[in-house]
Amino acid sequence: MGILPIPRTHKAFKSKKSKKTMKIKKGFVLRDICGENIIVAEGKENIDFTKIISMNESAALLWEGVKNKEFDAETLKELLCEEYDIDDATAENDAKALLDSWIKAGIVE
Amino acid sequence: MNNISEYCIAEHNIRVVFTANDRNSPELIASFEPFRTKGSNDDFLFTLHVDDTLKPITKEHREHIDTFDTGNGDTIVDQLDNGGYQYILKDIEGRSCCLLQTNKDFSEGVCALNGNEQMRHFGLNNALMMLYAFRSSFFHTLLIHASLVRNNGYGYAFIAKSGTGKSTHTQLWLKHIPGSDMMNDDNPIVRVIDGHTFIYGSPWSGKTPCYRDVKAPLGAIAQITRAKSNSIERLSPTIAFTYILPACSTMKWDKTVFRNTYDTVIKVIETSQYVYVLHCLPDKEAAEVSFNTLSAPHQQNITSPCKSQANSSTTRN
Repeated sequence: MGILPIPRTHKAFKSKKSKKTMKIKKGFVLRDICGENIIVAEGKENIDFTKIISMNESAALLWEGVKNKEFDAETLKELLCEEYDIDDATAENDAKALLDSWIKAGIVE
Repeated sequence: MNNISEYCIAEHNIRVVFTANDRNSPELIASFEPFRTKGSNDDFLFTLHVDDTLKPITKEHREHIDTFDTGNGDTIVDQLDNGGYQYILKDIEGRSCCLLQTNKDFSEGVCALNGNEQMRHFGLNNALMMLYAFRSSFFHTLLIHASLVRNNGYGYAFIAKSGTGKSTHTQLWLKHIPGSDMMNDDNPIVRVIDGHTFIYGSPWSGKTPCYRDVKAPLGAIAQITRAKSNSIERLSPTIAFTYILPACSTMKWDKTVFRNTYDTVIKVIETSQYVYVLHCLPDKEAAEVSFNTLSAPHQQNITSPCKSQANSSTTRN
């Protein structure tokens, strides 16, 4: 009682501060091939990376959105909400799942 | 006196200058003879000078990249401080056969050969292959590890890791599919020219001496996998990319060359579209299954001349 709910933005700001932000690893490039999106690894530092990562349209859009900057799941979520008409919870889940898959694939650090 | 030899490989002119030396001559690369040209023009893809007095670049002017097992011996790669490269090519027994230095865009190279005739042949042949692959990458050209057969004017390239059965499969075409001939058995060349993909014979053909100056529109590329029964499926662009890229000679650590290579692979997939995976046995049916599917999109070109023949015979009647 008498305690105001913490505004969402404030909460987000706090969690952002406590969590480590990510960056796309150097040399990973998004390419279009007949309308399909793939990530190719370039350069000496990725000489042992032999996988090709395929991405759907929304993942590719987010990839472009966070290129050359620090980001976290919240950044991805905001981009999702800007671009698609989805509710907060879905966007948050999708953003988290996508970031996890990028970490697993070894294309962000 | 120096010997200057010019060759035209997949419609790219190259030049090899042999510095006077009783051990080095064009005879070391007899497989290039079918590609020899004379005084074509001054527009060369690259010039390679063969000069045994070449010395390795001192350590402070190069950065070690890696040592690669090519399957035929190790290649030691260093990048020079001027952006160029130095390669030391060793044969399967670990003997240094060739010291090769190139400029940044691979338009110029110098190499020193070492050892007996067989080692010199190995060194020069492979130096030329690397220089060709890296330099031609700037011109929508790929050197691809494949066995290539021609039928009705189209080239059909079969790719797979060594030992899977590429050559075995093309041999089955030669035996069972009338009108087939071998264009190359190991390293044909693919070019995208004005939105069309062509495939060419080359002076590099593995163990099969099939060095032919021939050209055909690309009919299809098929990845071969061994299976218990014969079947074939067309691949999506992304999957096609993952099969074709590893079959191409490139330098993964050099951003420019690697980007050139995968850009061309993407172009090939976009223009040619016909990339398949063939699950097969080494039997007659395998050749029939692959021929029927791979040649189907190009049947139009077979039926039209036949139709006109039919028409003319009707007129005669």
